[in-house]
Parts: sequence; C-alpha cells; structure tokens
Amino acid sequence: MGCWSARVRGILAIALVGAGFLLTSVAHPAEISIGYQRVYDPWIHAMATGQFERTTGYEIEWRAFDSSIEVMGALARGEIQIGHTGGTGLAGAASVGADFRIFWILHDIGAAEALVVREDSGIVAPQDLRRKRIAVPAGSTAHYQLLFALEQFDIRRSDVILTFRDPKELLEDWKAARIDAAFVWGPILAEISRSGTTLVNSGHLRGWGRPTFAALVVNPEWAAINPGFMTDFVGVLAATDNAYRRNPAAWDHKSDEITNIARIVGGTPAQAVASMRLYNYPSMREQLTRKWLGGGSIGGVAKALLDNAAYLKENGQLRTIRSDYEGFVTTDWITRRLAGSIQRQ
Amino acid sequence: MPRWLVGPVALLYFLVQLSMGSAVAADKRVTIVFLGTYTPWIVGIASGAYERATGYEIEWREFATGFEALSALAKGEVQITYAGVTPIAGAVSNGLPLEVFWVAGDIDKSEALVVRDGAGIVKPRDLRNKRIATPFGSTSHFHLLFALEQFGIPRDETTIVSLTPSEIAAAWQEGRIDGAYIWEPVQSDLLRDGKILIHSGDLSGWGRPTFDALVADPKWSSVNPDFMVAFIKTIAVYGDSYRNDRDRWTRASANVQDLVAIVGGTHARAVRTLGLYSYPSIQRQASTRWLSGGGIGGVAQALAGNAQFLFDQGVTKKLAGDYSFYVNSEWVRRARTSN
Repeated sequence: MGCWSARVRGILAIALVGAGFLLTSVAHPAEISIGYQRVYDPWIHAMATGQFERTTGYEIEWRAFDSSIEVMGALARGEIQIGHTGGTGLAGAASVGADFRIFWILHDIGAAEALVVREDSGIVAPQDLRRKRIAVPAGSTAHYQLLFALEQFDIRRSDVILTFRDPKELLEDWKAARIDAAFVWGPILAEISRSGTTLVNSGHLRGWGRPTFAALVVNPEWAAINPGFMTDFVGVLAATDNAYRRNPAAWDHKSDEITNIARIVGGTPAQAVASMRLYNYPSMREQLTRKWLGGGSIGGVAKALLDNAAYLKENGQLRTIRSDYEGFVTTDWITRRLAGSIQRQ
Repeated sequence: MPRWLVGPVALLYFLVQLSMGSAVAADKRVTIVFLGTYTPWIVGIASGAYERATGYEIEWREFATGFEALSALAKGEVQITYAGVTPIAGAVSNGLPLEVFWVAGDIDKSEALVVRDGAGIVKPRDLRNKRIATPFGSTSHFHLLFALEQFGIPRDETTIVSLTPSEIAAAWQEGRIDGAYIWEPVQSDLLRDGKILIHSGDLSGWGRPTFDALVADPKWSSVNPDFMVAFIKTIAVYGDSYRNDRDRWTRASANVQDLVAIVGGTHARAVRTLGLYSYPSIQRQASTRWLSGGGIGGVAQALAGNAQFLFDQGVTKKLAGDYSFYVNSEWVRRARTSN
C-alpha cells in the first residue's frame, strides 16, 4: 500500500464510499416509518398532501401515537425511524440509554398549555392550590410544567392531590367536578376554560427559564445512511412552516391547509386555527441558534433535556441522569439543508 | 354703633372680606397633580383643554409618586390628584378625607417586576436573598408583596428597598439592585438589560386588581360642582378617543406629541405604554364595576382589599371603617347626564 500514490488512494476511497452507498440502497429500500401525534401543526398539511413523499422519493408509513413515551418506545424497537416527541419523553429516553438525535423543533409551546382552575373551586391565587385536586397527563410537558410551577409557588407535592389522567379522562373528571384544576393543552384546554380561569400558562414558565417544545427525533444510524432523505425532509418541514409564518391569516378555517390538518388530527377547523395561533414555529436559522439546537451543552434544547431529566429524577421516575445531553441534539441536517440551498442558488 | 363694637365689627368685616376674597379666588383656581404616566387624559394638560372647558385657572404640578401627591392633598396644597389605588387606600386608612371620583387606568401590564440580566434571577425561587426596589406605598409595592406571598417567599428572605422611579433607574445602572417592581417609562429602560418575571395583569388575575384614579378634596369639590362635571367630561373625551379612534394615537399624532411633551421619553414608548393600560368609559365608571354600588362597588372593594393587605404587611397601622365612604360616583353620574 505504501507505494500507491495519493491519487490512487483517493480514487480507491471514493470507490469504496460509492460501493457503500450501493449496498445501503440495496439493504435499505427507500421507505421509512414516521410516528406523529395528534397536534395541530403546519407539517401535518404536508403529510396530508403527500409532499414529503414527492420531495424525498421515499415511501412513508405514517403512524399515529398518543404519547411521547409510546413514540420513544417504537423508535427504540426500530418500528419507526423518525418520531414526534415532547420534552419529558425525550429526557427520560435519553437518560435510560436510548439512541436518537433531535434534529427539528416542531413547535415552541408558547402559551398553549395552561393551569386552569374551576370557577367554583375557591382557587383565586396560586397559594389557594394547597389541598386541591389537580389533574395532568402523566409524563407530559404539562406534567413537568405543573411540578415546576408548584415549586415556584413553594407548594410541595404533598400539599396538593395530584391525579394522572389522559386528556379525555381529565375532561370527564372536570365535568363531574372530581377535580379542582388541570394543566392541559389543545381542545380539552379550550373546553375546560369555559368554566375556569387560567392561573399560569406555559408562556409564564418559559419566561421563568423552562421552555417547552415538541421536536422530531431520528434514529442516528438510519439518518447517517439516508442523508438525502434527511435534507429533503427538513426542506419540506421548513417550507411548510415558512408558509404558515409568512401569512397565518391565509390558514383560516376554510383553507385547504387547515381542512387537511383538522382531518388528520381531529376536532374542528376552528379549533385548529385557534390552537396554531398559540404556538411559535422557529425558522431554520433560529433553530441553529443557542436558543434551540445550537450552542452545544448550553443550547436551549440540551439544557431543557438536562432540566427535564433532573425533574424526573427528583420525582423518582429516573434513577440516574447524564451530566449533559448535548449528544442527543444535532444541527447537521438543518446545516446541510441550508448549505444545499445556497449551492443551488 | 357703640364704641366697644367698632373694633370687633371692623375685624369681622375684615375677616369676611378676606374670606370672600379667597372664596372668589378659589372659585376660579385649582391646583391639580399628575404623575408622569402615558395616559390619555394627560394630553388635555398640554392643550389647555381643561382650562377652556372649566373656565378655571389650573396650576399643574407633577409628582414622582402617588404617595407624595396625597401628602400634598393632605396639606391642602392641592385639591385634585392622580394616584394609584394602593397609596389611596393607605391615605384613607391614615385618616385623610378624600373622594375617588374617576378611574384613570386599569394598570394591567404597565407595571411589572423586572429582573436584571446577570443578577442570577431566572425564576421566582431565585428572588430569595436578592435586592428588589419599588416605591413604598405604591400599587407596584402592593403587587410586589402580593407576588412574593404567592411565590411562598417570606418577607425576610428578600430585601425590599424604597426608591423613586428615577432612583430605581440609577440604582439599576450601578448594579445596586437585582430587580424592581415599577411602572413606565422607567420599566422600558430596565428592560434593555432585564426581563419581566411577572406583571400586574397576571397579579390582577390572581384576585388583586390595581388601577390609577383621580381623587379630590371633598370639601373643595362640594363647593365647585360645575368644575367637577366639566373636568370629568373633558377627561372622558380622551379615553373615548383612545378606545374608539386609535388612528389619532399613532407615533406621529398630535395626541402622542403632546403626551411626550409633558411626560418625556419617546413617541414609540408612549404608544406602547398607552396600550398597556385599559381605560373604562364614563358609563362603565358609573357602574358597580367601578364607582357605584357602595360597599360592593369595584373601587370600594379594591380600596378595602389594598388597605387590609397594607395593614397585614405592617405598612399601615390602622384601618378605616367603611371604604365605600371614600368613593364618590356623583360627579360621573352628573357628567354622564348633563349636556
């Protein structure tokens, strides 16, 4: 080997990489399973129109899940390669050794989740929460936010009666007056707000240093051998979010976009419009900053994972946590997508 | 006339002349205090609208806080003043006879707890062992204490210092305070290197609303009823204009120019701050939500609530019996029905 010229070695290396690609495309036919959750977001519209399939050339199996915990389970078992998941689900999975990369922020929760108190509960201010019954979906971003809010009000877990309910059960309990308060999102939040008032919402908690968001995660081995898919996929996500951000008024309850989203997620088009207004959709450039995926261990997402994990540990849901979660966050696919679009210009 | 009467009669005559003389002067002259807030009624000070509408000569005096303004009212130096509900409640508890006759602005987001970047305060729990400034006895002070109570932070775990708005700006610059509960325009200055932890709109939602009001010396208003009615009708015009005709309150508008001429700061800041308050109409003012309704009226209840809170916190040592006694809806009712 020592007598080979650098040029020959270079050609050989390229040939080997090329062979690797061939093998890859044989071993991994152009298909993927993606797990989504029923949340009103712009990308659901691109899912409905087949835009992801057209742009990537991949056959995509779309699978609906009810919680981030289920999504992370399916990802770990290899049943899906990409999935939609929220803060606490991510921190828990990362802490128990699951392998994934957060590559896209689906939405910043903004003020879209809230702690609502029943009008007849006798709760006016936070200190009135003591000895009251509060419901929340277990392991959700709302659960995490509720615990954080209680801590800020210096109310211990034992000072309130916490009950874990999925959103639908929570609504039944609310109607039957079995609970005094609930921390929840979406159509159920809209429903209970009719006979309740908001004490604190995710916007306050974000201001207090606990941002909450939903993200897309990918199996890193799969992403490494499907780079073209990843950059094309990110391109469609960005284009759809941009279209919404540039002109949210055009996405009204009669638009094709909202009709599509409501058809897949459920509920009414009006609910979809109202819900999407509460979320923020960061651009690719914003996602690359320290506020989100950038910044290494002090980046917003890596820090949020660490904070979430610390919470789960404090609450006995995790035995050990990592010292940092930087390794679960990647800017690769957005960076490559941006570089690719510059080249094409 | 017996000789012995000449002296006393002359004296009496002199006194009557003196009092008549002063009564004539008082009929057409009044001293009114305003604070440097971006609220619509201030525009009329610049344009001379109140003098034209009432026919009175008005001396306008600007004070930094409602507490100082109410002290001037107590000394008889001024007849009408602008102040927040908290200092008004404190003054009433301390025995100052006054009447609240107009709600000038629902405070909402215009007052807030701002924490300095680099002070290590990210969340409410971090307020422990920090130095927070606010003007004592103000609506901001009331909301700061209420916020700390709701955050479960005992009084002795945070250092609260009393500073005026301009002193707060200076102390902040020098890093002598970690945060401040304060109103505009200083609040915007602090936000250049700080963030809002919680604002008065949130705290009002937790059952402790705050607002700014105009109060009068009832002895003076009772002998100047025409002034009161004409004055209120003119104030109401500015609030109505802001609510219904927002095009006349843009940066380039004459209204905002006048506001900045009186209060200072920038046009952009004035426009932003105007939007942080809400301004009840004359009809709303006359309702139970605000000035009417006796003991269950909104203003009376807020006065009583503020007074109790100040008392519980040790800021005032006394409580008045009936706070609805210090609310007078007569002038708004007359202003509403007169032409």
